[in-house]
Amino acid sequence: MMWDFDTVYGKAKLYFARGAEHEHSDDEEFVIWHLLGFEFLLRAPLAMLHASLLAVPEGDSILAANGIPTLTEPKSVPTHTVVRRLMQIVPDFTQERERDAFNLLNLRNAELHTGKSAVGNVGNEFWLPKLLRVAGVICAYLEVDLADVLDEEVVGLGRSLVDREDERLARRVAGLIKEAKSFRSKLSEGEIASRALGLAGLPGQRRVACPACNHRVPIRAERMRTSRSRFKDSSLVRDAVYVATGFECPICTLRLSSTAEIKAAELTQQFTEEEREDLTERLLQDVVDYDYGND
Amino acid sequence: MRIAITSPHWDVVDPGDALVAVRRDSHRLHTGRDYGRCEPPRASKLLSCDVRHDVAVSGSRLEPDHAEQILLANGFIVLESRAAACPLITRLGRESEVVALAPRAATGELGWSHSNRYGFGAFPWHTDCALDNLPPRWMVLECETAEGRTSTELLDPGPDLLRRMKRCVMRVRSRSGHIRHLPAASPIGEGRFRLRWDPRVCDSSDTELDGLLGRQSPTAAYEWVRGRLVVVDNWRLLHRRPAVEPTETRRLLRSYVRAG
Repeated sequence: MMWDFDTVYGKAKLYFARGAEHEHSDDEEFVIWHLLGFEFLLRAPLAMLHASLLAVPEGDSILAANGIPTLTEPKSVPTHTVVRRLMQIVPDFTQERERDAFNLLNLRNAELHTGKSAVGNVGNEFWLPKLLRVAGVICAYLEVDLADVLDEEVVGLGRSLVDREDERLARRVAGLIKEAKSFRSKLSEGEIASRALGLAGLPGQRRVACPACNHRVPIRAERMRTSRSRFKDSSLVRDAVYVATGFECPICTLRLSSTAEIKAAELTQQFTEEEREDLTERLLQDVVDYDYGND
Repeated sequence: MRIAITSPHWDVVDPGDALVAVRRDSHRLHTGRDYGRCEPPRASKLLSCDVRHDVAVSGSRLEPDHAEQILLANGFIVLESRAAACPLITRLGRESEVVALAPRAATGELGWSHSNRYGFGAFPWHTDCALDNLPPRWMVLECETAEGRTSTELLDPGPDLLRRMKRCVMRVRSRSGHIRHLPAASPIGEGRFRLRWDPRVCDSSDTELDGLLGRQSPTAAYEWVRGRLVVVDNWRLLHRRPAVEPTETRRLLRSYVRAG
């Protein structure tokens, strides 16, 4: 079948291996093969769950994904659908990883579908850290090491670039915190009290201590996925996982605008909240209570 | 062919009959005798430490869930008869039709079967149905006839070998010439991998791996006697037939079991 996990995963590894055979700098084929392999790596978690997650809903493609011969050629879901699904399935496939993925896919498209020499005009520091970060969360999901998929030397090169990016980010966030502390130190007690009043009106959930002024401030988070429902005390219970996406302190004005910045500021990035649903209400919703055909 | 049961590297599970020989330095299979000098086995490995008592016993005394536990722990189980194995096989899934295997001379051509290619010589380490979309998890071998000492060997790849296999991608060619690229080890969750390996039809991206695998000593080997049956985890273990004498009689019945 065209969407078997082994063939999709195998092709990702193959293309990455072909890329690694080229010079690791100033060689466009090094980049292109990695970008081609990247798309298959994105599809691998869906193939692992079930091949039909890679089949378009129209036509016979889903039948083909279930091993049933079809008269027409099955079609694959577009990559943006793959990425959307990964966000629901793969832990840590956050909005930032989504952005990384689309950056890489757009680079590939620009190279393959336009007259631009797109990959010849970007350095490794642009694409390789993004590839490594996305591959990292996918490999964690697949329970394999990065070096099982990507060449060990490429992983090493990518890690050094990721580390450099992380250091730059850490320095920037440290600077933001320093500025916010300085701002806070110039406020009078009255001003602080007045600004703190604003906090009371904000939602109480998911509050964290501001790394600059230590006030407990709500953090902005996005719901990423939920666990399977389970029965507990006559209710259906599931765990909803939220990932922090932004933080803004009304007192010291510290503003962090991404999960990466929140991580660099050493704030909690992930929250799990239990959601309950009354079973009786759920069942009532499912009941058709009119006299069908008897009116 | 004799298995190297007298070697200091081997333990004989049943000294009376040399039913199963288990390599002492194996990372997964240990016999009771190893307790004194091995690290205490983790809970998941405890069952494999009971090889002495469990693998070689008459299957009639084994409950199917116990037999399955042994199979999962060791990657194989030896049972004394088909009757003894039936409850386990039924529990594992649906059994395919049975095919008879007997040594025969090589045809001199690059035929499809191992016998065509290797004749009475030793087969290379391999997994069965390596080209299938989903190779069968369980392989059942049953001895219909055996004269002289003849065995089948098993290999449970150690961490270094497994690491190389996990990184390897193979160019495989089906009987019809169709090419695909497949991983030698696919993740299947909970840190486990499904192995595929068949040097007749798989060209490995790791050119040294074939030779490295070829030099591996078996992790376990079992001698064939009429009626004996072994169930092997075809995703976890590689197997091979050692060389046989052309005059030797050896007829095995092979089937596969897939989850129902």
